[in-house]
Amino acid sequence: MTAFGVTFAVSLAVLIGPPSDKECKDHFPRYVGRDVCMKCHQTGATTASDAPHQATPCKTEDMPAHDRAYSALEKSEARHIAALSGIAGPTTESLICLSCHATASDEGRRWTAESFDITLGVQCENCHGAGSFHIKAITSGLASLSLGSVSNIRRGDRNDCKRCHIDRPSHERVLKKGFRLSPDDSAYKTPVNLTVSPDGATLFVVCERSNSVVVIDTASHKKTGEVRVGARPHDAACSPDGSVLYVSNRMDASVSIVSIHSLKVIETIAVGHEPHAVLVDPQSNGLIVLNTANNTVSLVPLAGSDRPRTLTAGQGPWSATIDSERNRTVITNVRPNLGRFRDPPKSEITILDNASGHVATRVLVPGANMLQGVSQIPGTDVSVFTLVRSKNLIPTSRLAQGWVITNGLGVLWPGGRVDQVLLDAPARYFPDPMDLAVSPDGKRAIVVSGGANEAAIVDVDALLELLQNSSDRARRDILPNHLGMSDRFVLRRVRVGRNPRAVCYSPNGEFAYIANALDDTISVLETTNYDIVASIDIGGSTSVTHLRRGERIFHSASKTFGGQFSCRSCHPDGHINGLTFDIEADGIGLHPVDNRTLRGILDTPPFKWEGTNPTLHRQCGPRLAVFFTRLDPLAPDELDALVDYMCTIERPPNRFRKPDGLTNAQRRGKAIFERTTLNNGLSMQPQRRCVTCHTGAYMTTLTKSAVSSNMWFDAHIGVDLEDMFGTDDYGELGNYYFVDVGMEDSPFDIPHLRNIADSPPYLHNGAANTLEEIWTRFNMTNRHGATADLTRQQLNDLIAYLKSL
Amino acid sequence: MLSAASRRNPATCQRPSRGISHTVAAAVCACALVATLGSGCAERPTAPHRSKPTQGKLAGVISRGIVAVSQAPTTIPSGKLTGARIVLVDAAKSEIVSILTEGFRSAGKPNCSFDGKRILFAGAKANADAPAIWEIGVDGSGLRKVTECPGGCAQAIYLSTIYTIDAVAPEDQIAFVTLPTMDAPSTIYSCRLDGAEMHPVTFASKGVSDPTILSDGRLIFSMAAPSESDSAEEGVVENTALFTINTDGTDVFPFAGLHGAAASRTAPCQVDANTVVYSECDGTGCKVISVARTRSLHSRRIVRNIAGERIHALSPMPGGKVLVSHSIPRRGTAPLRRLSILDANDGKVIATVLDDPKWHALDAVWVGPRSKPPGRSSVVNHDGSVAQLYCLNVYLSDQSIQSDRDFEIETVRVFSNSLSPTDLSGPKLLGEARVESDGSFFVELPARTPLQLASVGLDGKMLDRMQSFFWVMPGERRGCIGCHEDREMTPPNRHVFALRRPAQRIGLPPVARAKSTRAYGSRKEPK
Repeated sequence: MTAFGVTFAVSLAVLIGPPSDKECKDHFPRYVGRDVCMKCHQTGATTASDAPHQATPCKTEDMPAHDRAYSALEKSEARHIAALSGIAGPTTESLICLSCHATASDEGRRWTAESFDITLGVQCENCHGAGSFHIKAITSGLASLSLGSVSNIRRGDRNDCKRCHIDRPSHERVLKKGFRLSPDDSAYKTPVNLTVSPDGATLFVVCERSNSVVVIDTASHKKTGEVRVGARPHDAACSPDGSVLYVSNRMDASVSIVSIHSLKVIETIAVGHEPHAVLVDPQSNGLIVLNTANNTVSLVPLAGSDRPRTLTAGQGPWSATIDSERNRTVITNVRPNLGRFRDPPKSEITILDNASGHVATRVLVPGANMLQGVSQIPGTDVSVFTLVRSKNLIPTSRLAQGWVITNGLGVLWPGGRVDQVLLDAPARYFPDPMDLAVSPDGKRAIVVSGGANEAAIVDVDALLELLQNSSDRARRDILPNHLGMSDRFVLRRVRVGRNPRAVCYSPNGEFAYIANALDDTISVLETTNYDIVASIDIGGSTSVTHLRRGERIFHSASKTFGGQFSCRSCHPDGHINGLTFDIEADGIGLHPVDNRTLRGILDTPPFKWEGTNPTLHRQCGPRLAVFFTRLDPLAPDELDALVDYMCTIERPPNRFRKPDGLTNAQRRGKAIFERTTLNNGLSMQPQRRCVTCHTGAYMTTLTKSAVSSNMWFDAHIGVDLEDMFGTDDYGELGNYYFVDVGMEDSPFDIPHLRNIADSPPYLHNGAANTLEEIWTRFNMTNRHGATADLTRQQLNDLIAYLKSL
Repeated sequence: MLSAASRRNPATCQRPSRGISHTVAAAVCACALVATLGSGCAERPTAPHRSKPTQGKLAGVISRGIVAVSQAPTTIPSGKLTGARIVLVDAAKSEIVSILTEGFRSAGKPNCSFDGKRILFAGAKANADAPAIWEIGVDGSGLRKVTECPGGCAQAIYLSTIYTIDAVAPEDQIAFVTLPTMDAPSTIYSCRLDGAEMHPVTFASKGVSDPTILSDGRLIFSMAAPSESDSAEEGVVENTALFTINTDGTDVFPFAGLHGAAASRTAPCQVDANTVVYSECDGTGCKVISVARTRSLHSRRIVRNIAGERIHALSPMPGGKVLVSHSIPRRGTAPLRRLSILDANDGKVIATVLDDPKWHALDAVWVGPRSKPPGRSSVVNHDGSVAQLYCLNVYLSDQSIQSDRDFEIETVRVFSNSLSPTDLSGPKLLGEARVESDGSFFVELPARTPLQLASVGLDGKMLDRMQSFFWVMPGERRGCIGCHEDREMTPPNRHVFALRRPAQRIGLPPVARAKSTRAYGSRKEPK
């Protein structure tokens, strides 16, 4: 293709529609690398032989820091910066790091020429754009080309510099203030799950921090071995014959298959993203893996030629139990289904028919979220599961009477009926019920409270009798909301270790084991009186580092009035619970705010949707105390520890991104994202361009912007809508979301877009259930980016790109 | 100056008037009357006094420990108690170690700091002095006046910290009770340890007493409340129940005795993580009642019930024991108040600490370190004057739920009551707020005043009316679930209609509004 052909094609592309997948390869320029540019633009290379055209000598060639940018990622300091930025894995593979320390990181190597070398750091094309079309034009004889014209070479300006040359708290903390990880930070185990071998002789403890499984001899209560598995393992299951252990690896999207005999990983299989529970179905001889990020279930045959199958679960499938008699699997989901705006949350229990490998039923649990631990009551077809009942629709203006979050149990009866009861008592809550186990005789259940460091011993018969003897109305309205009922079925609450996250019984039911994540111990309970008979040290560091202290604060409800909730109550895995809350600080009843992820947030100030908190210390200090916990603010050293720990919460790898870079659709979407002209060829106002606000390492300018996304309930003004309380009270079609009441368009924090696909709902108030809805329902003024002219495919491409970030 | 209470009822020391607890009365006797009636001063010991040998086996009960005891001479005629003092007693030996309040004409109601090193008490030095709040080291050093009130103040306790979003750091606080005057009933105030930032935190027309801090940081106190008497013919009679508030005055909430038989419930104290005991007195005597802190409305248990016995004060000790000041009136003789140690579980006297015929043991406090409850972060703006109240569903009550409703509530009528004891005009109408179709309402209310709500039907008639009063603090956004709902119910998670509009500013005829404003504004705060 001639240069003219290239430029003509590119110019017309926006008018005649996006290129097909086949055309993509030639449609977008590739990065050629600094050396190719320098052949013409090196200072002094002005002779005809050096430069076929009158190339402008590069004035920035002597910027050695740009050359060293990539190699800086290999310095020791980079590891500490990455840790504070929640970046898991090598810095040289992190999109965030590479976006300022290299070139072409966003597009990926699929969109670079062979001449391109990423290790050369920040190169010419970082500011001027990919140069392959330019090279083609030059070599084809079109010598007179100017910047910004058909040469497709952008004229870089200082805005390009500002994308990276900004204050970064993570860098300042490490390079100027000397923050360093402690060696002990990597010496913790952090047990998050456990399972017992079929013969009861061995306890396998899944350790998230050490990426390992610790093996415990249940007779001696001694550690006998440890096997390293994938990144951030979460759950384990034994094969029925006790020969193999399957371990889900949350950050690796994989399952490690471990030989119990040799304690070695014999195979690793790929599953969905952020896998949590893993189970072995003995009847089908297959694995059931819950992919929490994908909202799917992987059914992986362990023998035969069947291919793995993937089923859709609810939002954030978390834990599961197999009902062998009925050949089904009951799955909890940690986030509520995406529903109608400002309706009470409804979470899903997904029930699989193991025989057919299909979803048999989806049971909705009204008013509940954070469905986590689940267990079948032996000898019955009843399941119990842990849940949280968040009061996200009423103002968080008090903490008495279970005003913000209550915690309890769900009971799933045959036929799909679900009952709920609270484990809380007035002024004594049971925060973060994370797991439960039912004794083999079905008489007792143990529920662990990660926030209160306690285990509740439940009389199962009393619980079921309470429900069966209550009226339908009581079961619907009273029991799920009554703080006085737990006395009826909770026999006692036992103090265990710090942040208990998992519990299981021995096969004979004589003992129960509780994994205490944040002191690296296993509590052993005898099951007559449920007293602790041993505390097993699984070998983690015994010192408490600064970050460990912060992690304990994060997971503890002791800093909240009444011990009602912890930070983790709304941020499981440091992420979101999928709810919008009515925070008192900005008025009550109005201005609901979407819960935001904590993963990798240090370098994304300002904080809070209104962008009023410049630092995390401000966000988590006075504001947290006055409007959330209602107790003393954290002491300065506690606040430092909490904030630093929060910063280290890891962001998982982007599941929509291919190893070699953007797909064709994503690359087309990037072009839409960066476009400066509308489909009709008219120039876009800068404030209507995506990249004006969403740019840089985190795809945000770290400022606030008003894009007409505020709605009538965001303002503290009276709006008397005629049909305010009707079925369309929030406007089923969006009609009532935006009402011209003469109010000023409020600016909101420009959110970062990293892993944005994992954080529904969207917008500051969570009104948009999907990324698509941001523009199809909530961009009526065309000010949240000029998107009204986009075709369906263009919008799909744009969203495909956003998901890749 | 003679206190209003003592002027009205000279017998207050023995039988407190309605609405004033025994313990307030004791403090009034020990402090206010000493100051005001001055001349009949008791002979004051100048040297440590050895008490009458203990009647119990204290060495087996407590191996060591100091108790600060408030004593008053038994020789002073009724109504002229004076010479009250605070002594430190070696509890194991029942031996007075030192007199802490030398130089005071009267002193009482000690409270020990969380580190166990300082004592807060009410005391007056000169005849003309109204009792003020003082602090002294356990070793007798560092005596200083913390604060004083025009009509006198008593019952001071250490609180945990208070914090607001614009504060530099949390500040330690104390609370105390102002004595009733002609202008205002007894009121709990909080202030910093240096006496600054003094603010009332209760606003009850009939007075409050006996503040104590719970382990979760809330204040528990005694306040007049409605009661259902045993006889229907007698109707609703006045009752003294226990309530809790946050230390910034927000979220007043019933704790115990709200609708029980009429009785005076006083002297609450928390003896372990989940047990609170208090005194419940009626015409026949006093009982010691135990409730679970977490289920206080549903766990009442009588742990001590001795015929005719009066319980004057209760105070926690380590190990689930309680210091109790108690007496059994006998015909013809003034009852002696003894100091004993009770087992909080069964109410039995384990040992008697002080039983000196010359001295009443009015109350006592264990001297030693104890856990400091969590502090409070507050939204209260003391410069403000209004608060907001939202109710999620007026049809929710412990009698019915919304689906059962067979009547419509159109509005909620808001009344305020004067804080002046001399204002007998009764509640004044502030206005009405619209109730939405889902039963919710959202209204802006005057802060720091007793308020009462009534539901009004479609025909404008009142359907039901609160029997008690509540208050809101400036800046508070108080939520309530329903009208007289089950107090253990959590709120239904619904975005109610009322909260989709701004808070209603209740309308009021100009005349009525002005009257109400005068009544509220007449309140005097202590300097």
